[in-house]
Amino acid sequence: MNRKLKIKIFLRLFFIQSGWNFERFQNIGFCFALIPHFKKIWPDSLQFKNTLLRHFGIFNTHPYMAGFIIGNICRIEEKISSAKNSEEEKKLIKSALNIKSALASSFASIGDRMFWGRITPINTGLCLAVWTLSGFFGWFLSDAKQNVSVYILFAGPVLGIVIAAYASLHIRWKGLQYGYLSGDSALCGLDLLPWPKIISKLSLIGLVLSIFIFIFVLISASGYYHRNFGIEGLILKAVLAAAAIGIFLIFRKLKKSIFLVLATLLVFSFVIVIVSRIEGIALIL
Amino acid sequence: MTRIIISALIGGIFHLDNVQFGQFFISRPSFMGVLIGCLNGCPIQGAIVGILIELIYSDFPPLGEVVPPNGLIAASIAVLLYAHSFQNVSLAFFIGIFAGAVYSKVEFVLRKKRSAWNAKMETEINENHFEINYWIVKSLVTESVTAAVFITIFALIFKIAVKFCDFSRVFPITDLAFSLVPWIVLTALILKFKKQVVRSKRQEARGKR
Repeated sequence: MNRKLKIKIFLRLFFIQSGWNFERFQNIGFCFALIPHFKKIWPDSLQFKNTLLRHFGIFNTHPYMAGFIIGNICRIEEKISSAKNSEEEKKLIKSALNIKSALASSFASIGDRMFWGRITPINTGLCLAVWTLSGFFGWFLSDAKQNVSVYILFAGPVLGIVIAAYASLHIRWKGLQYGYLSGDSALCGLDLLPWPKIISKLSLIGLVLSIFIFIFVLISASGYYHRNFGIEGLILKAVLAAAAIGIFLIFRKLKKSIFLVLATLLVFSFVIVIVSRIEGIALIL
Repeated sequence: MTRIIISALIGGIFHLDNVQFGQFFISRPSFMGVLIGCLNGCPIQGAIVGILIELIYSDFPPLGEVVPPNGLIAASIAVLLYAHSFQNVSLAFFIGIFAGAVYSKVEFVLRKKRSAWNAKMETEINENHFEINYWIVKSLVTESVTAAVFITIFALIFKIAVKFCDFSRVFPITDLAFSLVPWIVLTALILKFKKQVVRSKRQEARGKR
């Protein structure tokens, strides 16, 4: 596979989830990425057709990790095209389909845990950290009127976008390259990085980041309520926040959805508003 | 009206990043909230609803066949409702959350309908006139247009409804609930990472044994 073809497949990898459907998941995107390579190795239209149909079945993996599997398939299909006899060809075809399905689930598990489970929430945490450190407290002090620069507002999410985009592009490119190099080998590119170590470190980074944000918010909010509403206001707010966290923890233990927590929070707020009106207490938001 | 349509069109295009093209995180609610907020003169409110929606929806990762609630749709609608209907962040936020969850059902239908494409595509391959680019473009356009139409309809319904109903009555309730949301989502974030750390430590310990 030359560099031009590799770049072509790499760019087509961005469409891996186009046409996602419940019957065969990412099969359309998978074939779309592989077509330039199939056209090159199978100039004969019948062979090309058979190969395309062979790979038109179920395919589902993490979108960033698809490069590994596509790289492997490119290498195995090259071997199939140069098979000496039909028996060897059949054997390689069987191995291609087996490797495809085994790698898809292995890389899906790694990708889901690494990107959706860690990097995405870390990105959200980073956005909160950028905003909080630049003095934008509006997201947790909803009644505080603030004038914040648009650049700061964009800086939070954009930092996460840059980090995630770099990581995803790197993994897609390296995956395609390494998958192709290790095609049909024992590990098929699974050994490119120490995945469990990376995943474990990301979890730790996420935990430290989220605790840091929580403490920072707690101190800032306490100071704000004490300054503006006195000790009574601070206590009232603390009781309400503790009640909300309590509701969340109960529902979490019962394994209920966050939507149910929000609905309960609205009912809880309704009761508090009614009680405060009857008792004549001014609520602090 | 023009701003709603322009915002919906931008939402529809950026929505492709969710599933159909790229996944570069530009469809994240915190970014879309600020962007749509800038277009409608309320970037701060956009940032607030965007980040809280992102934190709430981080509970729904797109694993396997799961169609999670759509954060981009939720943030875009919440910002449009704030700017053109209520001028109240809290109610806009809760309706946005609801809209994002409803859109996941729409997305489910779109994905289900695309299953029927497979047989047609196989016939095309067998008859040697397979145009995969056509199917890819069809998929992108359908997703993008559906998202844009959904955002526009939702925003317009509430723009009209606000003329007939007095939503300000529920503001004290939604304001109080909204002021408590950050505490819930931050707790959820800590617990999510704590669970992961505990699990990986357990796995490490098993590995050493």
